[in-house]
Amino acid sequence: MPELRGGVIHNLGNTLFMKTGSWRTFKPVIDHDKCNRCIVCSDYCTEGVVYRKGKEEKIVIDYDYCKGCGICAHECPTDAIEMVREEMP
Amino acid sequence: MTDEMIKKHTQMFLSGSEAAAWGAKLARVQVVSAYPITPNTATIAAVAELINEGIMDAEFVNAEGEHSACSIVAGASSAGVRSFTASCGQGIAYMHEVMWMASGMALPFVMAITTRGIGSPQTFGPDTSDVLSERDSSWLQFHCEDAQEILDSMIMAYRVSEHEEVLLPSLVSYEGFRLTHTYEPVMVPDQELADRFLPPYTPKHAFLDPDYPIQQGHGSLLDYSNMKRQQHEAMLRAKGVIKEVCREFEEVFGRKYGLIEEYMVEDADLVVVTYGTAAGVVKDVVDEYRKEGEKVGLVRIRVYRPFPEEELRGTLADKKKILVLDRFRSPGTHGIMFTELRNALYGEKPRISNFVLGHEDVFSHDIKKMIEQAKREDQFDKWYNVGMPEAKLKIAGEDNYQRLRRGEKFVREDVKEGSLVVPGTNICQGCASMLAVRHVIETVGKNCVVPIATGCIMAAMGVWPLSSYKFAGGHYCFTNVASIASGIEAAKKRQGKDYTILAIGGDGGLGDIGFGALSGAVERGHKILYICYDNEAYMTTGVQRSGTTPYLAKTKTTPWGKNMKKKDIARIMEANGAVYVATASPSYLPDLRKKVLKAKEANGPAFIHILCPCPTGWEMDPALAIEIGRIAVETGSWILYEWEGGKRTITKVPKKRRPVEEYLKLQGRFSHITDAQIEEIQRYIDKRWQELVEG
Repeated sequence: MPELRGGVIHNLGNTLFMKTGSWRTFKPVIDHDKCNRCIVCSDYCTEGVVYRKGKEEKIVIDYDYCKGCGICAHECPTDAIEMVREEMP
Repeated sequence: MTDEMIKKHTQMFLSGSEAAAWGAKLARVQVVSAYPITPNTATIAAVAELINEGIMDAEFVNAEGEHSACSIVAGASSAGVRSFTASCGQGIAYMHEVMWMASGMALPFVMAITTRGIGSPQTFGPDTSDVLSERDSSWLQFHCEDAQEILDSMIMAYRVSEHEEVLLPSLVSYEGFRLTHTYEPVMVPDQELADRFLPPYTPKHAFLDPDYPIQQGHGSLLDYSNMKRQQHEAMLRAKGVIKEVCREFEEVFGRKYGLIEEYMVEDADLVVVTYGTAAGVVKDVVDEYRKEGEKVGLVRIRVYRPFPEEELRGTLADKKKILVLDRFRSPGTHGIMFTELRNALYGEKPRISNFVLGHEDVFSHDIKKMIEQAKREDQFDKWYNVGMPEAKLKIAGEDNYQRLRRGEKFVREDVKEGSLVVPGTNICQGCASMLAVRHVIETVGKNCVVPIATGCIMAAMGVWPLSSYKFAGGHYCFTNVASIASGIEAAKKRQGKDYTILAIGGDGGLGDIGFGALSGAVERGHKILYICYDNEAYMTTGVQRSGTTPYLAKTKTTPWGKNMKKKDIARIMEANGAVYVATASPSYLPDLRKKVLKAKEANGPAFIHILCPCPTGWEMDPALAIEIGRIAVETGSWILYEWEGGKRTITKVPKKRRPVEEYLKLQGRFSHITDAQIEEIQRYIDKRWQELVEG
């Protein structure tokens, strides 16, 4: 049976098991009292791992993949995100 | 080495790359040109660093592609100056034409090859397919085993190449990573000693000089074969010259080399023949066999062109068994060294077997297994340890492929929903290029086909069988993304389909090495949207200068700070015939999205040039990636505009322009510049502002 050749990939988006969260030194933590759900953090997340599911829902960060660059904390207009040092596992 | 000789050396701890750079320095090379391609980057950065520290005195020309890099040194050699370049893999393939030109013109310069396999698939694996593919291009080939040999071969290569009996260029080949990036103690000779061995280059056969004009490179209809015969004869004479040069080298420096290296061969029954670093491992294995009284030996082929046929026959003709360890197989036949060796031993006694190792690291237990097999079996030709793991095929989607082959109708689960770029990418923390490209693709939507040039966005998508990207597309070459897109557009017309073609490249893939293809494609008027994510240097290969690197920025190949201005690709595209041109920034996302939608609807080629801050290369805090993009616009360092129908509209005018110092001081790559230089940059920005905004 001819096997798949030429480096072709038929199964896209299969990098999800690469948990890049392990790259992190600092972890963004949202203070939901300060957060006004404006989604600036989500827009500027280079990994696309900061979400707001519905308009009134809380912002969620997917720590499995967040690399801890700190852009969200720096850009947050209400200073609702703090970068906290990760503890050694 | 005698005590006297040792006194004239300094022991240094050098990588193979640094040893090559020291070799170039000791050879008093006067012109260096190169183009970054991993892992040659370590070699050219080492040369740039020697120049920056004032240890080496040479012109360093940063080329915009390998074809140019080889041409620049060929030009310098043509003008009569000793010159040097380094490349590997795809780079060698790209300069192939120039390599034939150079040897045909009898230009005796030296190139370091930091071996790397030729794609597709892209690989860093040093399988030597690049250097062995050049076996017919009339270049001498020296294959090194360690860093000391790299330094020594560099100096010897110039002597041999420039010898009037030879007059052919040389390749000094050493394996990527295994030698380019590993450190060893190296005896570096004093300059005075090197000068004694290698006199200055004074060309007598071919040089460009208005006082004594000659012509070069004319066509020849009837004498082509004659000139090839001349090259062949020069190659054959080179054998004698190499032997003579090696003898003299030993007299001056005390280190012994030859066409081949023999290790415990004399009484051996079974001899392993290989080249490069594998020989080091084999030597250990030979020692182990000898301890047990088994007569095993090694021959290392050091010079591959000219091929040391007589030497090999003399050493190996009476052996019982020979095992050739090849790195590369010519598809459709055997390993390359095996083929040549069997040819050299035609009609002789030995039974010859072949293992093709590919790019893999080999350890002594691997070699032992291979030797045991060669002892057991008569003659064979096998791959060692190469096989496609089923698990990988499964991850790549083998199931879907088989369903497609059977003609099944099915819904692909992987692309049913969700973002077009999923997490798990290889991109650095805080990469604004990834952010920009993600928003561009999400704005265009999934009805798109996206060829991507070599660069960060290609490296980010994953290594086969992984892909973070859920849209149709792929990675082609560094040079050709615009041409590939042109072909897709032509096919689209034939198929009567409707989708957006998005050609994505960095400042290299669209601005430098891929610029010729881009210019051609835009001129032809294909309806393609070109996205140039400009992070202002070759970031994937570890920060080397590109055409769009700004004035005075430090990179690995401009450690002194680039002394040319940034290439304005967007304005070249305006003149080139694009119907829509825009500059954008991921710090201004609504503006970026608006421009993408407009460009997508444009009735012809559209080009968007996006300035993407790179925390790694710009030496800054990744958290500032968006902020710094904003400051670039607010200082006027990056002007956001769109251009259509010959009219320029500025889309973001800062209320008051901030001084450029605020932009520069946040970036480590500008940490060395003086106040006067900051003022110079400010004046340049003011002038550009006047031209584009007020003019």
